[in-house]
Amino acid sequence: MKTDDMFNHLSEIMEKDVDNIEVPESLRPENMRIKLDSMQTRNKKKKNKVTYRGIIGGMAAVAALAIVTVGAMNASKLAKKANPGSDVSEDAIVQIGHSYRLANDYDEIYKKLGEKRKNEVYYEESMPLLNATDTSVSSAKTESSDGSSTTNDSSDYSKTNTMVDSIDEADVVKINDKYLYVLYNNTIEIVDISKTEMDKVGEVKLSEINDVEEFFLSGNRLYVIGGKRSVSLTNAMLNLLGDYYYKEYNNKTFLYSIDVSDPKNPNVLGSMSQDGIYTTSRIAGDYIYLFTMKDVDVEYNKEEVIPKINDEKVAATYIYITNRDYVYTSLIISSVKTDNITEVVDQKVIMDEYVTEYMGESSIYLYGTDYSNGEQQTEIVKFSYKDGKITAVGAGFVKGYVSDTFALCEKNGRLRILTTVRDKNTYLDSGLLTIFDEDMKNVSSIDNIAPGEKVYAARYIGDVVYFVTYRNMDPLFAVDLSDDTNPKMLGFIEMTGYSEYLHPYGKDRLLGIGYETDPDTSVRKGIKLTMFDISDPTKISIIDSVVITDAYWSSAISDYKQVLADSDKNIIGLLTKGQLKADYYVYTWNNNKFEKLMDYEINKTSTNSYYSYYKTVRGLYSGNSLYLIENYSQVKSFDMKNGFVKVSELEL
Amino acid sequence: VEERLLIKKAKKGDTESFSKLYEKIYKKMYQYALYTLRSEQDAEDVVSDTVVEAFEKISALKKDEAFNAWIFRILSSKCKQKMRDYYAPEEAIEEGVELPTRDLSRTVEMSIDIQAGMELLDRDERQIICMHVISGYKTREIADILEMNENTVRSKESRGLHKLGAILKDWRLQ
Repeated sequence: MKTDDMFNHLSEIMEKDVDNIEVPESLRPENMRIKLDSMQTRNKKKKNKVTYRGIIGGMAAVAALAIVTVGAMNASKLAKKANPGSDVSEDAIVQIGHSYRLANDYDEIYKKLGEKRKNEVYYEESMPLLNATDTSVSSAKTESSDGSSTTNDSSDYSKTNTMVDSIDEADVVKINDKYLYVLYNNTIEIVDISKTEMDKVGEVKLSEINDVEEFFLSGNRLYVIGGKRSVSLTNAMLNLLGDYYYKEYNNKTFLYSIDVSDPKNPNVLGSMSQDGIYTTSRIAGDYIYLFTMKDVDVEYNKEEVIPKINDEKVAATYIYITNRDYVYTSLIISSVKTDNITEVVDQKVIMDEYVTEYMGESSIYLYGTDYSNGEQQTEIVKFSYKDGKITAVGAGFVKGYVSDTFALCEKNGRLRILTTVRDKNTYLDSGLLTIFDEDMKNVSSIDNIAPGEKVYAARYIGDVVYFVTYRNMDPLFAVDLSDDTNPKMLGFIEMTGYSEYLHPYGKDRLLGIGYETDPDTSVRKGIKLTMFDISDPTKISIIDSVVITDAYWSSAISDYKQVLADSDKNIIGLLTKGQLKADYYVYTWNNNKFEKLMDYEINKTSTNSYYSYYKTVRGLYSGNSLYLIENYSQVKSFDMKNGFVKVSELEL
Repeated sequence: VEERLLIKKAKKGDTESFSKLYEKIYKKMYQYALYTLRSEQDAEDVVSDTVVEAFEKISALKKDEAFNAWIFRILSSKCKQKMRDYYAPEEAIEEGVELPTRDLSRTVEMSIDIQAGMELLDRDERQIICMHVISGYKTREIADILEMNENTVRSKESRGLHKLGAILKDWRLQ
């Protein structure tokens, strides 16, 4: 097709399509008019301004009354598999909530996926019925178990900033007392940092994967995750679309275990693979959990619809399919033991829309948004994980959507979740806190928190959740969760700007990183650090705050793994970007004040795009040195005991 | 003629007239925002914000200016802002860097196909194609709004269309 023809064709399609789109209720002209009308009335009354404190004070009273202790919203309908004789794990739950059920066989899966399109060419061809029996994976080499993570807690080096303390996350940089490991150009460079001058002593190259994503460091082991793009393109259509397309459709993700006790001779101990592009991974206890996502579309890759783990198709009895109309993608979760990663311990596949993963101390939660009666709601599906075994537990719904990564937190098997809810009639946002019990039964909730505002950042510390909402001012709220059935609003504090990320900073301190804004115009004035005193959650106070004015963005806001915040070492590091330059700042908390220790201008001589450039900047410490990794390719070290002067530099 | 009258009334604060103007294009506005941002929540927010702003600023609408083009300009710049928020601001992005896939939810079959197609495009290509196809902007106007060279707009559009080429053939007209 010529460009003009394509354009005309697209115009025609869009023209027809506009009538097919479901425009949200709130945008319908009659509803918009109501909104405009109410705005007008409000504007007329505006001179007589209600103070912010007044609104929140009133709200808190309302919220206290609004605590609900019924399981009415609970949607889990659990049914145990009738005949436990099959190869399904004996306690497999056939139905999770309204949304998922375990597939009986591949045929049912093909059928489900085929429903997506009406003109199924697919059914005209005969699809051989695949045998849904054994998926236990290929013979495993047992590795020696010396790489076990006996890391002592008194270690004096930074660890990747993770969501949950006890669960490790992979990153592009790791450090210990002797070595710095940096992912650069699909290679993990091992840098000896035991002397003043850094020295490149080894590297890990994996020829089988052409896209190294992240890695873990545990004792003397690296667990490396990367992808391989398929080269076996049969479909001319895919050829036309270029490699971005098949990155989505035919990708495979690998996990390698590598012994680096001798950094000069890294030794591959084992590997496993699963279909799909890498989404995330965790190490909990002695197990690695790997999450990948694979598009399922029978028209493009019907041969490849059933995901493979270690090159074998996952049995239907591990695959959950949705009860909803459309299936977009499959989420593949597998677990392996750290000392023998070749052998898959357990696996689950969920075929549905895109979901987000949260891994709490004992369960994996998958959540996604959905609409019901014009109202947005978040559905959460829970799988427990214990010693690598992944078991469906139940599902629940809450109104609204999860507007912050840290808005979910599991404690003692119970899930606490904060969502932002938009009222159907007034279009006003407000916060909703919900607590689910072990079986995903809705135990209690507080609704209508901070009417008119969206939840921006949250952090659960012990039995208290702290969270920030924002419209023009930034109130930080504290809610007591010690009684699951009766959460209590403890207090709040307001300030200008808003935090996008909250981090516990030692005893009784909470660090907020976000924006400073003008309270009247909401115009951003810079990046702001705030230290809250949370010793008494009913009387939160601000001890100090500092605004970096020549910055309009910080990596800390978009990726928590880029945050360096360690209260033991008393160091806070973050990258900020302004109009003209980018800086790495280091602060310490001294005498109840932020004290700037370093302001280092990041070198911008990169050939990579800005986006990936800043994405990979990391600050880490080991002993008395701070290491700054720029553009993967450069490491600089600074003497923390001596005014953060630059000590050495290394090109990778 | 009718439109002129409605604009006149809307300028005086008549919400009914404003709603009538809005009614004619709200579906397109939402469609535009949805395909540009690929998130229902964001699309809803952006359209809603646009309407509020347009109503507040309608007195600034020039006599000979078309309402549609004007409100789409507000919408386009809000979408552009929103997309900047997805990333570090003003950063050029690599091709193939994924947008946050947020709440893409089920609409109808074809919309899903188009949404899937939009996934293939980078943010500039997506916005340019949507501006051209849905809101009917000319290359020059798009260049102005996006603060981009006209030639860049043209080549980005052409590249985007070629990316879509293969699946375009498959999109059925219902």
